[in-house]
Amino acid sequence: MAVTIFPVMILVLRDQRKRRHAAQFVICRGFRLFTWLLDATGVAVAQTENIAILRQAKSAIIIANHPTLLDVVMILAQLDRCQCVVKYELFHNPFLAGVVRAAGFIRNDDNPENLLNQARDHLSSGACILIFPEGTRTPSQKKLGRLQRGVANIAIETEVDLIPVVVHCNHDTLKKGVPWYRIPPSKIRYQIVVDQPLSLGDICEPDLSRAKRARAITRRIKDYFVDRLTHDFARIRT
Amino acid sequence: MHSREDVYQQLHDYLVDLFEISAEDITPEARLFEDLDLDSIDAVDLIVKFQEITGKKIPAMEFRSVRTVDDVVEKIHGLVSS
Repeated sequence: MAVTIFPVMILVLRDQRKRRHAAQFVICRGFRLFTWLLDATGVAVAQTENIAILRQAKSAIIIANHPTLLDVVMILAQLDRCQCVVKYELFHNPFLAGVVRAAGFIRNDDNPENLLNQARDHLSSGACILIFPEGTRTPSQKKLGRLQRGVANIAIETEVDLIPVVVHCNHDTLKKGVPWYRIPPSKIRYQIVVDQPLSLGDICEPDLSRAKRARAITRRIKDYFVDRLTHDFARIRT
Repeated sequence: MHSREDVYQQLHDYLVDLFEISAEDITPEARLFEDLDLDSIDAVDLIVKFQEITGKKIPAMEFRSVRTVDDVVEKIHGLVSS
């Protein structure tokens, strides 16, 4: 798909906005097909809660914890369109560079002003941006990795809401530090729970400096996820 | 703000006041990103602050190679005394 549809799309759809929407739509539907295959072949299945919140959301940052390789697949499969902040390596990957460029995804290593400007443009056009605040997968044996402050800084700049998505996975397969080809003993189960949006106004007072607000908001996000991850998806305390 | 000590003291104060870093963590060898938990946006803020106080344009590119507190002091001191 990456080497067939996307180059054609870049050639045919000259309008950047249309091209981005089309690319994101193809990615989301591709992931939906992929999750259907995973389910049908007995590899993995995702159960979702409150996904309507994500589908209706406009101009919001979607923040999710990142336990496994397939989190982004499971989340985007539920949507028709979404912006993402992605690892810069993908822009050098010969298969994926065309895809992430066509979709207009934001790279995570750019200089901070560029990243903020791109995020502002996307959000003001009504798009949602999916960001994993951990910046990489959660380290093994941990519930949550160290959070980067990019989400907080974008939120301060743009004053948009944050929509938390809590991802649980019952297997260690696909987690960091585990070879992805290690076959799990039973079907992998995901639970994707969308929570009510957090609005910045009640997160911290606006009088503080940018740096302090970013730290306060990041702490709040961390506490939120740590709290939400104290019980696994079978409601068992972890 | 001319001597290296002045620059160090100023940087020390910024780190404590702006970025909530505890004073005992700040040493000349402390690495900005790993030890003091700064990020690239903080670095931009820091450069802007030093521009205000020195009245000199500090090119962000100059800070690409900066790793530790002492590297910053070295750069800023180099710029103000040149």
